[in-house]
Amino acid sequence: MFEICLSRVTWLHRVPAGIKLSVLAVAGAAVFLTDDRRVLAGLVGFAFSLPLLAWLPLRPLARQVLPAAVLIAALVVFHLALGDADSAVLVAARLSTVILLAVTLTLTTRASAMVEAMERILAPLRFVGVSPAKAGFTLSLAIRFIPVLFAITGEIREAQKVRGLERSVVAVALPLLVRTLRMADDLSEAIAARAYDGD
Amino acid sequence: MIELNGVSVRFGDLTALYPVSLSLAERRVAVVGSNGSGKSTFARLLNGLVVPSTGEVRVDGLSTARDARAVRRKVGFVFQNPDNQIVYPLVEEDIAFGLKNLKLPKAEIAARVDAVLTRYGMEALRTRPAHLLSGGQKQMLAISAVLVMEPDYVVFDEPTTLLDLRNKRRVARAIAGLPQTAVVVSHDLEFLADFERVLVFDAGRLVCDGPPATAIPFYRDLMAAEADGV
Ligand SMILES: Nc1ncnc2c1ncn2[C@@H]1O[C@H](COP(=O)(O)OP(=O)(O)OP(=O)(O)O)[C@@H](O)[C@H]1O
Ligand SMILES: [Mg+2]
Repeated sequence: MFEICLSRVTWLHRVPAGIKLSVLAVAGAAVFLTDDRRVLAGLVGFAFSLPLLAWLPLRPLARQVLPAAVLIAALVVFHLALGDADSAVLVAARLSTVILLAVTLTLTTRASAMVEAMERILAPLRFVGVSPAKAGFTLSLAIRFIPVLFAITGEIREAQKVRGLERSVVAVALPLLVRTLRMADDLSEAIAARAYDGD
Repeated sequence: MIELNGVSVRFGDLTALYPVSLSLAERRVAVVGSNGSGKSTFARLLNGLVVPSTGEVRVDGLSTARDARAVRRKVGFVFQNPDNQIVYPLVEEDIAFGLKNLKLPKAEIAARVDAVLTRYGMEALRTRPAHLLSGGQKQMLAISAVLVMEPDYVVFDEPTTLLDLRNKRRVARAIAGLPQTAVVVSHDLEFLADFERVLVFDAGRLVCDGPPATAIPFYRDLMAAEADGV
């Protein structure tokens, strides 16, 4: 989710964010709702060919898909071990489709465009008292701060390594929590100072 | 003009700022003092991030407590840590953030973003992810993102503290070149030497208010006396 909009712009970058989000939503729902092997095969084929058709640089794509690929592989092994080859195929097909499409979306869409599209898609929520603008903005903050959280976690692990604590969940999680809360505090002031008033 | 009238700030039973009355009409005002002396509290008062416990702060006649929204638009604020004030993933999106909040038309937003990127030599960074910039570049981005909103006043809270010497100079030059009124909290006395007015805080009190020629030596003596006292 980090290397959004790398210098090379492909045709997929130019497709409106709303369309890409809708395709992701529809394909994501379809892949989980259908059992039809032909439909599944079609969706998997679509998910794998889209980044190739868009000539996306494969290295950043691979880097972001890798953690999920490990998880999928584990699930497949788990189902195979239970002698359930059918489920193994289903899990692999469903998860890889959704993840590949999601990563392709974030690699080719700016946060601001995604926020605007989300605001439009979430517009009906206005009637149940949720502000679409706020929801969209929250999403963009999440995108912006995921790499920062990774970086902070890395720093803390380095620091704890010196003390031989880098494998202790508590020794890493506690300082991470403290720093995240402080960052959130600073950030909310900075957002207010730039005239954001949440409407 | 920014005016403080009998302004004090308390956090629970801690008095962060004892009553102070002054008006700031100079183009360059510096704020110095030791850690915890109340500099940031004073700076935050000026755009309503902190509201007075007693008294009133007025910016061009607007009260920071009652007209918070209008005051925020008039008074820009640059924080110490650029990481905690960059809101959007890409440089140009982040610069546009404040302008969107001002509900400006798209074309004007684009034009202003272009202008500020050019002015600070950052055109090449426009589509870079902000988290991959260097510390100096990040702080220049944070400053640009505030200046693009064209505030009448800009408050800087230790804008150069986390930077290396070269980037300190770069930020100092950018501040020196501002057409606006700037209030700068800093420990960098060299940079403050050509300011018009220096406010020295000590343990929540304004202890000296004058031109650098008198205030900076006063501050040095104060620090030396405190060091001797320990
Ligand atoms: N939100 C807050 N809640 C409680 N106490 C606070 C708050 N903000 C500041 N203080 C306290 O008020 C006093 C003045 O803090 P302030 O941040 O203004 O100092 P400073 O001069 O900016 O210090 P530094 O050089 O470390 O940035 C300190 O004792 C601080 O702990
Ligand atoms: Mg401070």
